[in-house]
Amino acid sequence: MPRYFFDVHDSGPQFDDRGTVLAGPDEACAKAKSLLASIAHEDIPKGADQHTFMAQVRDEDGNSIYAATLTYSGIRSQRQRHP
Amino acid sequence: MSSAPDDHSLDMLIRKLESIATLSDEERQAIRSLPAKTRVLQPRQDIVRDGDKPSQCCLILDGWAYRYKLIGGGRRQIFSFHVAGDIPDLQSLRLHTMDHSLATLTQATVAFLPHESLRDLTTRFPSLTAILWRDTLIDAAVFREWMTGMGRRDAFERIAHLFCELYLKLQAVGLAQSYRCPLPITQVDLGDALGLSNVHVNRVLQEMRGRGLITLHSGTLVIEAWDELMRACEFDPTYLHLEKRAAA
Repeated sequence: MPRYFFDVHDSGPQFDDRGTVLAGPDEACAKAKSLLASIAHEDIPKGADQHTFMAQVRDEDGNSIYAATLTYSGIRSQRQRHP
Repeated sequence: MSSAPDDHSLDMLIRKLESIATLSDEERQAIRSLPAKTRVLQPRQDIVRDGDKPSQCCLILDGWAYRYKLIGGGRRQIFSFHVAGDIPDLQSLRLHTMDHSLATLTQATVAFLPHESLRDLTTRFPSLTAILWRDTLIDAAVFREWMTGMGRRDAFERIAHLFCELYLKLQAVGLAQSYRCPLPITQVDLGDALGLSNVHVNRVLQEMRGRGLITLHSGTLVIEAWDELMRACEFDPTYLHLEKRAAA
């Protein structure tokens, strides 16, 4: 079975040197979605109001087979109630 | 297969129970004389399945096993990992229908202990009943810790916590030392145990390596920075209730 590498950009690039053996490109895409969602789930509450997460999946030959971006954008309203 | 009151295969059980309690000579002798059928099982082989009504318990003598449940869509939750000395299906002695499955993770040597003999042992030695109860309570304590992890800890903390737990459990029965232990668990297994995808597990393991906390090579885990790993996941070994907690 082929090996896929999942590079993530979350406040800096993080390269996957080891990779994961998966059934094929469909599973690799599905794993990228779930990885991005998990990272966002953990890091959005800890981070700033503007945050972009990117994942890129490479195959064994180094070709990119999938790229995904998740953007978090929180905007505080101008009018804020004062107690 | 052998019926073996004298081959000392049951010493593994004695070693395990002595990691959580103190046994008398008489109790040790009674355990040694349990009838045990020893078998060698292949990796990934079910030992008992959800819904079974077993008439024996399974003592692990060598290798690893795990308890799990399957739900729709092929999703699997692993509840626990087991090593030599454990009786992962001890509950079947009192709860007659299995509500989950038990399988080998690696090739494993196991001893099957008839319920009848275990019941007889516990009737004759209430003190052993108390120790087996203690073991069951510790099992539940481990579940509480896993629940806390899955509900509240992030991926890094979950994996770090499991590594600390497994190391101490293995060390307590003499299967690990110097912060080095066998870890025949795949990333898929780790993910299914901790509610993570294998790709996410892989990413966290690389982060742990990158921070110099662990190395993981051909089935051996080396914890390079025990104190830091413990701190990172707020690991407190109290819940393992180990009687003899060796230094390393």
